[in-house]
Amino acid sequence: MARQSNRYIHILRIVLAVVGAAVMLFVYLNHSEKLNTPLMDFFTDDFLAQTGADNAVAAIYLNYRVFDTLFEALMLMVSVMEVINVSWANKHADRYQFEEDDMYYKNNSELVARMVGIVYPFVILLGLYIIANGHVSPGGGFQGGAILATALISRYLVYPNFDLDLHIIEKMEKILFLFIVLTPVLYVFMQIQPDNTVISHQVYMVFMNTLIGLKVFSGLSIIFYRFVFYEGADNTFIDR
Amino acid sequence: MFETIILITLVVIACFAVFSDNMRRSIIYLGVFSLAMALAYLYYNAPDVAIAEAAIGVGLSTVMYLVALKKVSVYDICYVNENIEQFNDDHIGSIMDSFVRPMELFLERTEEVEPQISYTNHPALEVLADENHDCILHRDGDLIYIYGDANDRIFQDIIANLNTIIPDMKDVRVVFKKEVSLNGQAE
Repeated sequence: MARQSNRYIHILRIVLAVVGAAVMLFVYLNHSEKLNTPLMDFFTDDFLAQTGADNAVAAIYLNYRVFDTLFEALMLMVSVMEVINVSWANKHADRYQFEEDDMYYKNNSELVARMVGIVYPFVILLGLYIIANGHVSPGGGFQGGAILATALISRYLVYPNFDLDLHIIEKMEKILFLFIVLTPVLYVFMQIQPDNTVISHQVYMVFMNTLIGLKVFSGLSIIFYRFVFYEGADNTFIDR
Repeated sequence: MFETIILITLVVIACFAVFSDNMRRSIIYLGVFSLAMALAYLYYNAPDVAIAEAAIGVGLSTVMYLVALKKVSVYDICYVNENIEQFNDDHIGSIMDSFVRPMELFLERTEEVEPQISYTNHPALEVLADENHDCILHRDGDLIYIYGDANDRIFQDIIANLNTIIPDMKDVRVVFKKEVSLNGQAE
């Protein structure tokens, strides 16, 4: 009986998918209206003077469509909170205490440790560069923050210990999110600007990119450290 | 030309990642795939996306996958039924509700290991001798034999809780692996 109803549900799903695809195709094929590119013209015509960004992408995500950025930042923060509060390890937090120092330090590959140790400062430098130049060159807060997080993770490869306080980073992320919401609300939506010039806009851009970069950095490192030190089997580091 | 090379490379590396036998190798191929993907984004004039792809695809997710791979503990169960010529969904479905699903749930909830189940119709003794499964379910007529290692902590737990896992267990026999090899030689 159960298998029968399973089959009906299966057929129903297929029928729904086919109907949905047919509707989509019908709408798509019947859509014959030809538009110009008003949106593209609006975004690319005069973005330097309007937003102070040399990079059209930065102009879009920090000024024209800053609303999207707010929700993206919210999404990352919610997933970090999810990882911390809803994750499987939360039930077993007492079982997964911080690891002892030096326990598995010696078992790490010497080659990897030394090479990463050399590359590590340059990765941080690159991340900061990409954040600071987000409005001029490709990149921006998210990319730079991801690169900074990669630097922190490579630090874990060199010296896998746990001397970060995740609670402080988590709090820092929430405060940064508050500022990320506050800054565009004041500057873009309410137009509280010291001066309507390119320089002022650029300061706003750099400030926003820095905030976003730090927030992404703390979010990704929380997720990573959480996974590394709390999740998984309890014989984690034995077979390293 | 350049476009064609990049796109073909992407497909080839993706195939490598999917069909490679070794998980760790797959992860490295995935990193290479991300790198090629970043190149493709760069070719299509999306340097922003390329940077994000390079940072996240190559850096973060590769390390994350490697760490996760180290942490997953898989419990490998093999179901043997010699009397079936070719396994199909009906055969698997017939034991699914009574046997496999409760076992999987027990392994996931109580033991917190990842169950992995394979099905075969090879002779049970051959499977026991050649393949390295954590636990083997062997169906012989009405009886189900459960083979496992007596020193395995998870197997001990399964045996201890067998009456809660499987409601109807009068047809179930438990065999420890060392006894089996002796029996096999004796036969």
